[in-house]
Amino acid sequence: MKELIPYITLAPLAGFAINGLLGWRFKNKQIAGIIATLAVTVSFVIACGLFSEMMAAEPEHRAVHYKLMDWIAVGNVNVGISYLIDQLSIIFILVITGVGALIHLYSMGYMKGDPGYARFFTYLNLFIVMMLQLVMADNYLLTFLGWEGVGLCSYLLIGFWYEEVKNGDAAKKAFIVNRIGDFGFLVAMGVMLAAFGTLNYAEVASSAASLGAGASVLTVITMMLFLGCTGKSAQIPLFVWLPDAMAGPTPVSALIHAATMVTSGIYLVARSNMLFALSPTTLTVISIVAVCTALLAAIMALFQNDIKKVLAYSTVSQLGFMFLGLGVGAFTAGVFHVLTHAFFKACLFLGSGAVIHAMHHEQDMQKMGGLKKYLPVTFWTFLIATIAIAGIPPFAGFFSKDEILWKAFSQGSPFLWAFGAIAALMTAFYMFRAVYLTFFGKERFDAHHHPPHEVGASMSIPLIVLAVLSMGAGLLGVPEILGGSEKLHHWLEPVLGRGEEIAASSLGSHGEGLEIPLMIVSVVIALIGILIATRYYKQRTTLAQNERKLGGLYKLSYNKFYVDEIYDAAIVQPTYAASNSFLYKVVDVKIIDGIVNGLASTAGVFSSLMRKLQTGLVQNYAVMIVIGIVVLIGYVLIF
Amino acid sequence: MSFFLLDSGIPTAELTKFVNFSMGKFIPELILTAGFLFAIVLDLLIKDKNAKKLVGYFAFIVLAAAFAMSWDQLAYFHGEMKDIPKWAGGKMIFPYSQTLPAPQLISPSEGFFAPFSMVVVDNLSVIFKMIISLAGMFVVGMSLLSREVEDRGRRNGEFFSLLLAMTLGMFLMPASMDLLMMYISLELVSITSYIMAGFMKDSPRSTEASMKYVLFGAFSSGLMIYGFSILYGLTGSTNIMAIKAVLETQFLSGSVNTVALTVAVILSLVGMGYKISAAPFHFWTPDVYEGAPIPVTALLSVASKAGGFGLLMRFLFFAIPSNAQTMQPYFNWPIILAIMSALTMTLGNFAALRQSNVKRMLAYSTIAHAGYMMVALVSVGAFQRLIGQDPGSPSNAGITAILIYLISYLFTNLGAFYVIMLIANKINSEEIEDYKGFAKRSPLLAVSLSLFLVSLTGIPLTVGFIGKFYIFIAILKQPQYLWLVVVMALNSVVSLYYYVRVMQSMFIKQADAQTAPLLGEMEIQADGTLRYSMMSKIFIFVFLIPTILFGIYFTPLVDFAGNAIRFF
Repeated sequence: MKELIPYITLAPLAGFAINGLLGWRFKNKQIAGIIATLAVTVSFVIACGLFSEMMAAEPEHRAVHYKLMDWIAVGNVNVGISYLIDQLSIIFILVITGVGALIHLYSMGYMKGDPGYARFFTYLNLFIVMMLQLVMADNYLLTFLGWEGVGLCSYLLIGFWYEEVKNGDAAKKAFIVNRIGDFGFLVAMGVMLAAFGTLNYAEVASSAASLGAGASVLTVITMMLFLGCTGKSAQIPLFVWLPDAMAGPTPVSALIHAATMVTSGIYLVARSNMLFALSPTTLTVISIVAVCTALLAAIMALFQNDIKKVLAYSTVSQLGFMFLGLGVGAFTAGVFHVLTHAFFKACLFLGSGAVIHAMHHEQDMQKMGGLKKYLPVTFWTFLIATIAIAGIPPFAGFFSKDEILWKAFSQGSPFLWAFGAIAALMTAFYMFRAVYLTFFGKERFDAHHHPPHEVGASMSIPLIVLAVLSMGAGLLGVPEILGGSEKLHHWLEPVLGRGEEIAASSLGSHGEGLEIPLMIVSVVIALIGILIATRYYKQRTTLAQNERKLGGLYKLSYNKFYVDEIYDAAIVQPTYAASNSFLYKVVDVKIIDGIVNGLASTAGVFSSLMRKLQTGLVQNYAVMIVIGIVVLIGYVLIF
Repeated sequence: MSFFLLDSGIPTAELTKFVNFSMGKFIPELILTAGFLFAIVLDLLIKDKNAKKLVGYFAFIVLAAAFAMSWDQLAYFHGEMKDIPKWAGGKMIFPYSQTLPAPQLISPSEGFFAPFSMVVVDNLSVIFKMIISLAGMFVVGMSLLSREVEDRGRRNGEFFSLLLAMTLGMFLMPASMDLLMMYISLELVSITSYIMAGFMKDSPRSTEASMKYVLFGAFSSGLMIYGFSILYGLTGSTNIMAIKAVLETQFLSGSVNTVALTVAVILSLVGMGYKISAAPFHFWTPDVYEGAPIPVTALLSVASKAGGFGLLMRFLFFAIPSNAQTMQPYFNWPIILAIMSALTMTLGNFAALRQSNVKRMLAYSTIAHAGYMMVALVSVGAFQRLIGQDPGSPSNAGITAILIYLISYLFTNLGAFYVIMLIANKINSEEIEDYKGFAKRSPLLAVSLSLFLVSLTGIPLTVGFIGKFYIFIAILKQPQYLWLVVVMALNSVVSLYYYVRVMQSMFIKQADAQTAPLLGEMEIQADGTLRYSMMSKIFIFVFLIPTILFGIYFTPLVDFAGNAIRFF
């Protein structure tokens, strides 16, 4: 199987090339979708083959190194296009290609009839290529290539319907905010090169290990990497782009802004687990930022009326949970939550897409209601995924979220656990609120003229598969205390084990024997959230009155804590004003233009002089040669 | 001198074997010679003037064969070269030199080594041959699509056969180990290029170019052979290895005649400087480039310049001895080259600023590029003694850089000339003013010309950047030449201006009444763009793909060029 590794990325690359170059010529538009979906399926099949081969091998022989070619070889730095397929990356590859293939299939139905059909699949395939580079790379630079590539694809796909200004603005916002994070990644790579002289993951990790815990260079590197992660994975303070990113087509939100791209920050931290484990300061920062993000985003999601906005804030909040796991040194728990979240959040997004599709591009839940009888498949899959995200056992979300919360308690502090638990309560509440508003109660739309219709097979199959996975994926990580075997832990042990050990030894461990009680508490909390939602929303005919009674909290939540407005007033406007009044009118126009124009006219004068030398007369040329010879000989003999 | 009279004691039978063996190393040149002669015959046999193009196809095949056979001679190596015998890749041919009786036998197992030969086959010369034959193939392709050449169909046969003869001369230039061979190969190239520059003898511009070229060339090569004669007088040999050995003993004993040596070397540099159009020996370049048919200009600007650089490298590295302690050459040629290169870049770029004719502008730009490449040569000088010793040594970085640059320049510059030729085919003009609004007339041509110009400027993601980048790396290893780095960087900035002017004319300005009319209304397609044959469109990509590809993925290019440091 090893020799097939490059085809994992080459298959979608071929799809990208074919659709990009020839897509607009296809008579039957569907061909583009079929090609793109097949390409990703091929990758998935290869990945499955690799996975089964890895399962059969001994744990220490599972990692496969594959060097495709040299890329940059300058001086002592040699960066190759080489891939590292190990226990960690194969999980991500499987998620990217598996969920990716399902979403491609779904998009074939969802995007039907769109004038940009081939263009959509071109971008989507390119995204898969770049995302695979990101997780398959054996060095930071190639990961960075993928990192930038997925950022580009995200930009292109958020602004896919570019005729509308607001979509273009959302795309720009995503791109610019991400650039701030990318700057951190770049600085981190620069420091690595300066300190270790290499960008290879294994070499950096071993150099870091030789430095020992708490070295300041490691703190700089990890803080800068985490800055990159806050951009890509939407953490405070750079999370603002993700809710706006919902301007893109819904499959994009499912694939890029829920299941894969936004989790690349978690991948990066997990991949660099040795560095982070050796920087306790950074870990503390991560866990505080993460728990704040989880809580804040959950509050923001409470009273949103746009179905996709709810899911977007929920994604930010869940990403906070994942980082909370990483921040307390539970790298496996973070990765586990990435896995389960990919299934249930993709399912939720695709379900919301089905609803939006059925409602003729209406996204406001105030105008829905009672859709249960029109969209049975969508309803049931959406409900399963909602139970999973709410954290009800034995659905997937329970195990991963509970593991994170337990580690936050035992390796972090009770406060981290408490805040996380409150966020979990809110999660259960707002998700069931969304279910009730959408599928229950009275129909608040004109069902006679535009009856909602259930989606076709290409859209319902992915929903069902993802719903099944949302139910069952948790079994991979049933904790030992419940009689489980923690398969995922054993699987990831060779990659993440050392880092976890180091982190655990520096963070300490407490709360022996409290695991079961805390687990029960978190289930109870989830149930409370669901009960509140049921109490207030299940049969409501008039909406939002009770919500308004909450006053200040409602306003803050509904307006997302005014974060966008604060950023605008504190950063965007001053930057704009300074650049316009000072940098443009003074520095650019007066100083720079002045110098440039001056230089240009000097060059012009000089140039005319030069041209005069070229007289066109051969005898003059001969004279110039002789002068040149005499001057050169004179110079050599005199000096 | 006892040094010369070293008798190898090789039996005659062995010598015969050796000669036979060495003829086998001469196959690319033999192919070209035979091809040249056969092309003349073919030209005579073909009566129909429209069928004369056949000679062109034949020339293409000959050049392709020469390219393939040269490639076959290349000795690849990867990374370390310690464990490889120093001249295992450098196989010698033509053991017999005017001044030497016999070749030297190192040991039977290692094969024959004859430092005192006329021509050598080593990786340096092989890579130059590959560059030159590739350029020749491209130029034949261009010529077959050129209106200037096609209109003179009756004389196409002589055009292509001369091109083969010129390529033969250029093959010999970087391989020459003897002053006489250097002179002969240089003259072979010069004389054929005089004729080819005046190929459009019905056009006064072309004839004038040819006439100026003859006069200027004769003057320069006269000065060069004068320098050679002084060198012979000083050392008693025309073989550059022997010259080096004699000069080294003279320098060590302090008996060297500095004035005579200086005059000799600088006069020799005139002829080579003229071939690569280095200031102040560059004055022919704009006049000839403007007057000659575009394919000939392209050939002169790439292949002939490459040959000149090969010759110059051979002469500087081999004829001039270097100090074993300081590693520097006894005769300080790097400083002469540094001054010349600074002058060349500055003159070329600044004179290009105000040109109104694209071909003339590109002529000045090729002068500037010669200046950049000379910077790489300068970087070799400070560690001349270390040449060929260790892949990482500073001198080898310079040699690698110059070859990377030549290869990048091969694709980019030929591409630019090719697009200009396609444009001239339709509007019969090379004035920047006439390019107004050309992006609308042919988007493909406008975009590809812009990419070539961007690459010539040396902007990242094009191969031109890689070339410049490696030159910068090489020269930065010599702190005393930091000023040259500054000059080169500033010059690159200046060059951007005149390249962008062409793009501005094509993309931003609109065609108006003054813009040159098309040669015929037939040329316009239904959608308002110009009609170009499929073949001529595909041919653009032959240049465009390497320009972009090697700009992004340049490791193979660097590895390939790195082979060049394997000479003895």
